[in-house]
Amino acid sequence: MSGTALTRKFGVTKYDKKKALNGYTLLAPLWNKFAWLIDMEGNIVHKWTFNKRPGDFTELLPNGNLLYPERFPTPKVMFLGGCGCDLLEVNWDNKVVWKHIDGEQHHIVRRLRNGNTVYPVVKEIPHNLNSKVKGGIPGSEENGQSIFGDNLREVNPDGEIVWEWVGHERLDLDVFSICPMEPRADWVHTNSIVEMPDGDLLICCRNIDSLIIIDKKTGDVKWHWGKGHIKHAHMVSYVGDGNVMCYDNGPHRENILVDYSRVVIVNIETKKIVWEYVDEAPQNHFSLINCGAQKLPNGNIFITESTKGRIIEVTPEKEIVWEYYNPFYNTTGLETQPGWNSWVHRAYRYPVDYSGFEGKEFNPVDYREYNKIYGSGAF
Amino acid sequence: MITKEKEPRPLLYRNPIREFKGYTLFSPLESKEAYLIDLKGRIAHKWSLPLAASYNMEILENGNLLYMGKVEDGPMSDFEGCGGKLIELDWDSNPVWEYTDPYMHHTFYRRRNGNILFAKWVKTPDEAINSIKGGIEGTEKDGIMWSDAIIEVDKYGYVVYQWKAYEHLDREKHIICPLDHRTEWTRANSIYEKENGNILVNFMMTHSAAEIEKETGKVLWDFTGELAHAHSISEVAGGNFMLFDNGLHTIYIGFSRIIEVDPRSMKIVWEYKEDSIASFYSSILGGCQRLGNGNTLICDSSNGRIVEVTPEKEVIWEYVSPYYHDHNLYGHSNIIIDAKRYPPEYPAFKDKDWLF
Repeated sequence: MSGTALTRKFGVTKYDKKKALNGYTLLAPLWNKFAWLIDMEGNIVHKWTFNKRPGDFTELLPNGNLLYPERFPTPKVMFLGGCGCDLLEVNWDNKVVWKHIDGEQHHIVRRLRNGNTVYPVVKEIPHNLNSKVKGGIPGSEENGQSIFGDNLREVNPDGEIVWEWVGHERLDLDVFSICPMEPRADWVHTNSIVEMPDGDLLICCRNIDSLIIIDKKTGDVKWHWGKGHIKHAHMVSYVGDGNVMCYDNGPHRENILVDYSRVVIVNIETKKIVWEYVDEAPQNHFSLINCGAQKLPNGNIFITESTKGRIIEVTPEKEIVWEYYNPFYNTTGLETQPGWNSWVHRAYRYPVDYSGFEGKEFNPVDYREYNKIYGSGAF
Repeated sequence: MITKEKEPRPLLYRNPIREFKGYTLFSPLESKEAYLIDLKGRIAHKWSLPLAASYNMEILENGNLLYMGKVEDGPMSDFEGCGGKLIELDWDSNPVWEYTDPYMHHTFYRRRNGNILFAKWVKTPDEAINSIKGGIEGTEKDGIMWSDAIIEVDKYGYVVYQWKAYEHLDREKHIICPLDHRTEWTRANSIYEKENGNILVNFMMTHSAAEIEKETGKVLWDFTGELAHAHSISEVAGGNFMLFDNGLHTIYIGFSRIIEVDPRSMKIVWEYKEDSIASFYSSILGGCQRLGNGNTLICDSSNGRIVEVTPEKEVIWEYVSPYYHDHNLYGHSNIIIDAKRYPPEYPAFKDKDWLF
């Protein structure tokens, strides 16, 4: 259900206390200068305030700090949503504990187990490769001549570049073609990186519709999947048992004249989809941009349907056991994203015993002036 | 099978000061029922349909219901929007007239003289196929590309007019969406006869619309560059035309909108979209009707919702269908196809039996 009827839903609309994972949800409404932690009833229990609007990513690290990119007013590449430049790690009290400036960073920031940080950087590819890049809308190179791909850049805590993976040297141009409905300026569009148990990197590349595993030692593309199955996906993750998961946004599906989104889990070895979540009326769950899927410790999947401001927790049997509608509305000021919206990039649920919460206190009373307006019972 | 599910109440909002008074006709997708509800959302009358409706329906001045029925085992039955039979039922659902053409699809328009215009699929000649652009190369199913003809049939079942897209439409302007197969060129899902007798057509697969001069078959104008798999074209006061622009297969945020265009300038002169933009999005079906008081009735099909908005774009009547059904593609949903409002003084309603 959507439309005006949908925009009258706010806060927690479903909560199965037995089946939902007890914890706190990190919520960063898109294009706003704050992030909240909310409890299972929708009450704000903690707040971070930003100086600038964050890029399309905010995460609570196991050390209890918040990691996010802070958007420059004019990103390096105008067409690329999610372009942010100052990478910030702030503590519980909003103090900056780490900062790294990289004008080419976009989308995600991933802290590795070794303490380094890896992120995609937007890179114009050599013009002699342009004619080899397949797909996309003909003639839509930036300024008629530029195609942008991605490098992956790893920096140590001192901000020194210790590893760089050059996309256009590693991605087979015959395989990784652009969706026919996307601009040729935007070839790869990596929006998600996770570290595999063996240290390899698993990335999600939106415009070439591929999940890719990169061998960290050699830089080779070790595995890929997605073409013909997913469209413009987000938030890839490794979920154990040799399986990876992503949120398959699904616009621009070939010869399918209805839009629907889904979450899929695919086995690396067999390349078969082993689990899938689709709404009982598929077209009722759809978001063209952003979105997230997170596997929770209790086996449930935490899903963000971004452009509806809707966050749900579903069991493996696909029962919705928690549902929340972001009550905070704002305007982006962007022509491509008009209106007053309650969009959320991706929300995370952390269990009450999450290492990041160690020593922290949660008291909704500290935010009672907010919770009368946004929290439980406010709507 | 339709199941009526528990909703708090299907009528979510109404403003009796601004609403256009009358009854609303709608049908849940693939159901064999059509409902006529009052402004409180109560069913005042219903029809049982021998076949599910493919798209639009109309109540005639004598109270009969005219619609295009979807035949289940015709040559085109696995094509989206397949119809096959024009059916007229009386107020009590007795069939009183029908016309069969297994290749008719989607839409019809009943002329004042009782003749009916409808769209049908015809095979595109091979030499034409090669010059039709767009779509994914080599995807003509069995080598056939279907394109549209507009047929006019009289009450005796005689075909009195025929217009073929491949004979008149500019192939440089009507280009198939790059994501779609080349099994169809245009897909006329909506036709409307203007006051002056010309025909407005909306072509879904080519994101375009056109006005056809009936006598000559000439295309007077093409409207391109704005639409994304649109539906429901009509003429509105002042000679403008209006469409439900679904917004499917666009680059940016998927959202639906109603647009009113002045064909003299090809400029959009009125547009309705929701403030919370992605929340009004029907990638399938969809309809719009300009009402006598200037309001617009919107059928937000995918969400089972009918909304009436003022020219100032304020929602003043909103109904969500409580009728759920199962579909192999669309799952368990309350999708409705088309909605039309008729005032109580419409001759169809005189001396009729009502459910209450």
